[in-house]
Amino acid sequence: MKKTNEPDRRVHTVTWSAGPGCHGGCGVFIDVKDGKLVKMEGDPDHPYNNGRLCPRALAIKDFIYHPDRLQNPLKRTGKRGENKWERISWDEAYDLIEKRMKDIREKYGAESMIFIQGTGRNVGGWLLLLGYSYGSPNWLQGGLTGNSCFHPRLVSMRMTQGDYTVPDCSQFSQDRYEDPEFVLPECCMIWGQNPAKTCNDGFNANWIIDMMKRGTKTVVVDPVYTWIASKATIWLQLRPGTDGALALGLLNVIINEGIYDKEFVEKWTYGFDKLAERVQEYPPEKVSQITWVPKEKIIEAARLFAKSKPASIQWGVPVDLAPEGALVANSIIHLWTITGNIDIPGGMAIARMAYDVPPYPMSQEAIAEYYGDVMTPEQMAKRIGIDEYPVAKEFHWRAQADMILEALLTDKPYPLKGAWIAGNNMLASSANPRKYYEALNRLDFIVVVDLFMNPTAVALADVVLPAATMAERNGIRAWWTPLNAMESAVEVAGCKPDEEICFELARRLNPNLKWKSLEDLFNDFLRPSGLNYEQLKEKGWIFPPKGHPTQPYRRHEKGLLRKDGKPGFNTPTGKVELYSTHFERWGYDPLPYYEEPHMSPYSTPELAKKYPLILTTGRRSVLYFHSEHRNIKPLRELEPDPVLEIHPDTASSLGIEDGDWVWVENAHGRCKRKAKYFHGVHPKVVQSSHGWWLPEKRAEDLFDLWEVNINQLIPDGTQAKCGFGGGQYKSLLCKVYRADEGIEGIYKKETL
Amino acid sequence: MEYGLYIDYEWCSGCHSCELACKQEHGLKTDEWGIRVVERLRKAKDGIVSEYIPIPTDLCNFCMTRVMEGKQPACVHHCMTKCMAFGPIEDMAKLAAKKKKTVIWGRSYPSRSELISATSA
Repeated sequence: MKKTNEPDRRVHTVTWSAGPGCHGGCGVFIDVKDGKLVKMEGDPDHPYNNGRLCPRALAIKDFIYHPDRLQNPLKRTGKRGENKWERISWDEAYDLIEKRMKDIREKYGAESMIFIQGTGRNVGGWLLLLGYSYGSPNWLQGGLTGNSCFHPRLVSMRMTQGDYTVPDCSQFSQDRYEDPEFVLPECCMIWGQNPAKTCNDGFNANWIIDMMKRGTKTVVVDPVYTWIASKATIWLQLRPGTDGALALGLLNVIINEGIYDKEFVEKWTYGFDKLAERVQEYPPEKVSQITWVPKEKIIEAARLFAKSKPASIQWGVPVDLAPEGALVANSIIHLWTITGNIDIPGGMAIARMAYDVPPYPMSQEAIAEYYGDVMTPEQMAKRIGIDEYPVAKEFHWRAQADMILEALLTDKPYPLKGAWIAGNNMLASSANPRKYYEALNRLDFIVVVDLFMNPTAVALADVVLPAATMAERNGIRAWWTPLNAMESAVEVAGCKPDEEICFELARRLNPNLKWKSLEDLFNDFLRPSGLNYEQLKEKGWIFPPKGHPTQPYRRHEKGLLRKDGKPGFNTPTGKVELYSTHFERWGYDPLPYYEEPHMSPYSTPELAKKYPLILTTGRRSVLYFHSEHRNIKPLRELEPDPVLEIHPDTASSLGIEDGDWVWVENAHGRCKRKAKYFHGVHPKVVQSSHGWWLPEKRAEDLFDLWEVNINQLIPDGTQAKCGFGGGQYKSLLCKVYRADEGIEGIYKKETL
Repeated sequence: MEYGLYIDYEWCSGCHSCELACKQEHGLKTDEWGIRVVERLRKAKDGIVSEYIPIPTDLCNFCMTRVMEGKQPACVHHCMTKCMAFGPIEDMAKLAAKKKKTVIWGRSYPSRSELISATSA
């Protein structure tokens, strides 16, 4: 007989965005009883996580059944910010949205409606479908100066090597580390990334730790002594924002000492001599002065990395956020290129979507292929930012975020009238959030789609739609490998997945849409895999066979990368371009160079007298995904306060005790933090987490957003010359002083 | 039978998964934890020590229901760096003898066969 507490059903799916929030794809079993999730457990056979799960995934029950979860579409009745709403049905919400959006399209043109996603990965594609079906090319990740989250690295990889690469940690094989073809890297450089706290797209960062346990040496590039830095063979404690100089210094040593892969450079790269000449401007002595990293350590790290074969580089968002982020990305690409590590076992594997099944179309050609020619070329040409930034025009497929902000405020190149904001708590996460507040508030109509009420929804939304978590979604999860099916395990009354919301509205706005149902669409996307959605669901996940163009290794030798079938890389010269022919064509410097942060003791010495500390923000917590999870008690309890990590000597000199509330301030704004003594930051550097708002406080006060939002100290408009990179979230100036009082009513740790 | 929960704290990254896995498995309330991760972050003579060590509490029952079903305890199953192991205490002692920075939490529980014989008697 069945035990009473036994689940009725066990559903296999993968995590993706809403819930844990992240970009990962961990295989999970969801136990369901009486239609409710009772437990989510890691699948030991899934090669992505082999059973393990992060605390956010393990707290998903608290997330799904949280009493504050939005479960009705809401229509604003008071003024924006008053938090007065009327509950309406989904049909009423769709009717209202359809009418308002059609009015805007008729009066001002579809392009005046912008479609903003956050970083949630199973939102973007559907939002793009909605935006394009409506007729607007203005789809973007809003709030990111210089599109500075992965996009600079993405465009640089595409321009320079024609494909994306990721460190090969055996993830392309079901057998993982046991696969006989896989070679453990001798060295992995971990550049501005904390594998113990956060993962990347389709990349479980714990793989790096797996490899370290198996013997891989590491060079950790981080201003902060993280746990991973404590395990490093060599830790390079650089001054925040000087990543570009460090990369050029490492190239200098490797090139001048002749410890690069001469055969690979000769055969597969373009412009080596010019790069060799450029890096002469960055000898280790000079780079040491810029970065504060001792010269000997730079040389030692360069030698360890170059002499290790295979070797890889795991990088994080500080690369994008450095001044001229796209160029910093290029310098790092050059590091793994000249050492001959591209697409070899244990090196930098070229990562394509398994079977070329897209998570969503990721280029203009793919958009046309999948969504059809829904827009005329004239309409497509209205995409904001492409006139200013040829990189955006040719190598990207979204609007440029800084140009959107300008358009919102200046009505140029044309007035914007409406916004759809899905899973983006912009007032908590954008650079210069008060400017975004003012800019977005100028719009006539704003739809916010999210799972909980948040400052952005309260302050700006006219309609709020309740979205669903990953446990409530059917779908396909295609990002690198493997290719996974997502299966909905439970329903939460009133909530809908973005897939459904966007699809249903897309059909209303474009009656000619070629798919009749979401499953039609999934099946269409899945065609290259030879399976349909039901079949994929049956299997759970699949890998393409060895030898398939979307599987490693050495595809440049085999002619598997270029459309013409010739050996080489998918670039104009067919080689990895150390000297960028694209940048040359557009009139930019084709070689990487170093640029000092916008605010720094060297670029703004006068300002540094007033604000003597370097502030680096965005320190990751494994408990929170950006601005999410502050309302999930078991997670919040482990990190209840927004914290500023400060060196004890610096703190004492300022009369600050461990645990004191402090103000962190610069010319742009200030916010409160709780000081935490930490020897692992340089005495001249302070570090803080980001994304804070206080769900326990009043909605009408925007959940005390302005008291705790550190992004108020971050200016906008610092984007790189090419429009990609340069958001100054990591290298600011500030001063820190004791606050007279803490924050009344802030969540208190329960007794432990 | 004597069991041991083995922790290689050289590799504990402080991810808190053991704490949350335990909470989910046993339906623990807000202020209840079956295991706690203790952070050791301090300046030492030869640099900074950054260490984490999970410590089971009185609420930990070694997930005996799971163990009887042939599974790992929830914390061991979900540990992100796979720095935990569980089994007969002798096996765990052998693991611990091989490397530095390890601890074993031991306890005696009836094994499946002992349980079966106890019920049939």
